[in-house]
Amino acid sequence: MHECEYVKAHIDRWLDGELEAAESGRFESHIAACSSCATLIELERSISADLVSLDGVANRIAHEGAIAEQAPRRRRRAWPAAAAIVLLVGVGFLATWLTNDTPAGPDGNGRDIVRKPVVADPIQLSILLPDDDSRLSVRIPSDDPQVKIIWLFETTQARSNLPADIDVENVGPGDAAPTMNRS
Amino acid sequence: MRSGLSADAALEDLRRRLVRYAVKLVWNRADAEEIVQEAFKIAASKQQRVTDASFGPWMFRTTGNLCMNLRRKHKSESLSDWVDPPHGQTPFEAASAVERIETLRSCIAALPNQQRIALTLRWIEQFDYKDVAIVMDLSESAVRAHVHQARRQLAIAMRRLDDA
Repeated sequence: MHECEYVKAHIDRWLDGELEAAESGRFESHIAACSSCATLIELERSISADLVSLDGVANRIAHEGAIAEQAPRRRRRAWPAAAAIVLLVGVGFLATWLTNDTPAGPDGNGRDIVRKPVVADPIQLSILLPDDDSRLSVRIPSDDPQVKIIWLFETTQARSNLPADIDVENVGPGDAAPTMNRS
Repeated sequence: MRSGLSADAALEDLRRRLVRYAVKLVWNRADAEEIVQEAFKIAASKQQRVTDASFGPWMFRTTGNLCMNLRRKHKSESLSDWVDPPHGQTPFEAASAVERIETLRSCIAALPNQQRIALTLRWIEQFDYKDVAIVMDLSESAVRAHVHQARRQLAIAMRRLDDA
């Protein structure tokens, strides 16, 4: 057998350390003399090393799953925050519409009918961005104490990107959930 | 099962090893956890006895099969978030190292199932050939052939990367 073929045929057993001393001697003396086989062996060694690295990475993913769940969150785009702002502005318009008395035209007796507001008080929304910029939440108060509405948005929206007319308050870790105030 | 552990501790030890193994096949911890949970459910439904010596290999085989048939719910983790570059590497060298490992992972994922499992068990999980053969329910020579084929495929892919 040509020595290069011998190396290729025995490379797995050599990598596994299963060659007998005489076989190993033949194998290694050839790779010391043949640059082509030496390159092949170098490649196989680097693959073995990379497989060990892959093992380490996989074990880290398995063990540090909690971090794995956090890490992608930091890379998320700002669109959820933008969506939250659009939604809040929409709610603001809705609240304004509901709280304004709207003439609805004359009734049968010639008197103007005024559509009564559904919500009596104007609503001021507070947007609260936690310092770790990971979550934005808004609690919507309800007349029914059994009903709680909380919007949660994950965000990487920079505070400076918010519209100037949006009320932003700082919330530190552990602070109470933000609330929407009525004035 | 590893000796010297209580039954509960041995089961938890096995579960962790299975999750690590599943991560090496699907590269997502959430999917891996679900798969291992499913494997335990199948074991319970088939009344596999946890005290049997064959239980561990059976669980590895079932987990491997579930990984091969996975309908993915989550994306694979990006390895760049997890590879710790060795000290002293330049950013370029570190990026190259990540690219090598990503290429290797992609190449393993593209292997035929038997080769993929044999290679993962032998060269990533570091099982010996005899144990891989038991897990895969194949002869040792068949496992060696699968591993040989898999490594040749990896060598071709990595040589291409080195030449690029």
